[in-house]
Amino acid sequence: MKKAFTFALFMVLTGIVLSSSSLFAGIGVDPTVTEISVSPGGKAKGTFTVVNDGDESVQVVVQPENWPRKRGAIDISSWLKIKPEEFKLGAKGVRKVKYKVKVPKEAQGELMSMVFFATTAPAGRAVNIRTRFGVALYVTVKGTEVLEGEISDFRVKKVKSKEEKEKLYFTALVENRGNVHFRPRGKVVIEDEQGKKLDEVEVQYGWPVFPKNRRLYRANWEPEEIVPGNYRAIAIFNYGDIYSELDKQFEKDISFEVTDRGEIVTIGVEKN
Amino acid sequence: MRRRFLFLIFIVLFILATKVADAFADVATTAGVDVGAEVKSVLVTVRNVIGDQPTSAIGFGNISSAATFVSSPQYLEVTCGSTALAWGVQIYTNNAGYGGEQKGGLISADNSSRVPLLWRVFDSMQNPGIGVPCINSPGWGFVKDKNDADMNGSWPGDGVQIEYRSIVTNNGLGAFPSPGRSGSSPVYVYFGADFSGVPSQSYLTQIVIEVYNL
Repeated sequence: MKKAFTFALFMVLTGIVLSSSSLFAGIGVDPTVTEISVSPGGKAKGTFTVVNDGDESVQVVVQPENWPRKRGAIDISSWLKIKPEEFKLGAKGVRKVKYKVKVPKEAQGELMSMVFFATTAPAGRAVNIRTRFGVALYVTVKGTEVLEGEISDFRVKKVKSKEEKEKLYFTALVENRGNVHFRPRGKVVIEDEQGKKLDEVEVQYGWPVFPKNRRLYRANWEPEEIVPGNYRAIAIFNYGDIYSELDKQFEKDISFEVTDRGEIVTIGVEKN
Repeated sequence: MRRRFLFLIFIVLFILATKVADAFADVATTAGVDVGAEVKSVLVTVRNVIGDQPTSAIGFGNISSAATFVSSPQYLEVTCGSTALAWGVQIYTNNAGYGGEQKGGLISADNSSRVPLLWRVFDSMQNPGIGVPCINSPGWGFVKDKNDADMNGSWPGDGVQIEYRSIVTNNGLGAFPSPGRSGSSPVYVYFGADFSGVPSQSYLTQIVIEVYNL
């Protein structure tokens, strides 16, 4: 009995399947990101194009969600209607899905939803796999925008690339103090101790910072040689381009020394 | 009387029909900024580690009660992409019915036990015929659950660490087995599970592969 128990097998995810498909979904949606501006009480509408790249028809469910998934956001159903909410899409099929936005009169800043197009999970599998394809819908409440941000932290450290080459790795923590998202477009300017510009490196553009939130942006400086000496680095970001406020800019600088031993000493900052 | 009643019904139906037809017609279109252009999709294929053939499901088969860490004989090939400026793909389970604090992983049929599920991601297929052996948890990401209390407030866009569910973004591969790796679609996700001390039962779950565009 004990032996029988010891060698007892228990069924764990048997992998027994009732369907022969090995491919899940194939759903894609366009546009992937929509940014619109609507007055309080105003309306807007548009369409999503949903495609099925797969070889089988799929049942698609539309699931708009608050994003980021935080409590306290205005209930999506009060400002966003989508039709149809569920439909079948044949292999290689294309379907238009309409949406309608009605901005509540009391809304301020922006409304945001990640609209997911989910395939319903096939039944009968031990492990069901569901795919969801989310597209972003940003609605700026016209006239109530507060566009405000800063770099709350700016650091440098030395790292090695895959090829074992030394580089300086800058990180800038950008904080959004306003009520609409923005996409910082930035660079890091590196100067020597006389203030002569040595180089500048771009920060990757695209990731948004949500209202009352922070995001870390990175840049690498990979010169031929990192010569010992004193340096100054300035992170400069423009962040108003979505709203045609091109003069919106914030910056922060740090001074640091590269010692003879190749260590980075940030001036005015205690070593961790 | 009956004719009047039918006329009233007709009027009501006519008004309702008009309302429905106008549901999307009574607003002005506002020009949007479509950051993305080309339609990209997400395709998930289950493949056997041995033979690399497509198959129908991820599984762990029949496990000895003495087992601890076990590798799945299947892996996922996830083909995805986006023309958005910022995008990513995340993985999590959806075990709403399980009562434990951490819900990620495989759940017993009677909702009483949980088997932690682990993942690693690569941008190429690993070790043909062998896969990625899972013998302990370091270097593996624990699959989170949508219903975990600590999932809220830490989704992409919040600027905080999301490494336990992010398998790939336009910046590169997820953090397991090691952070900071470049890589692009398709990506290959391998699974392990920790069966230590769980009772003999069937264990099930639903894995969600989710693309987001920001």
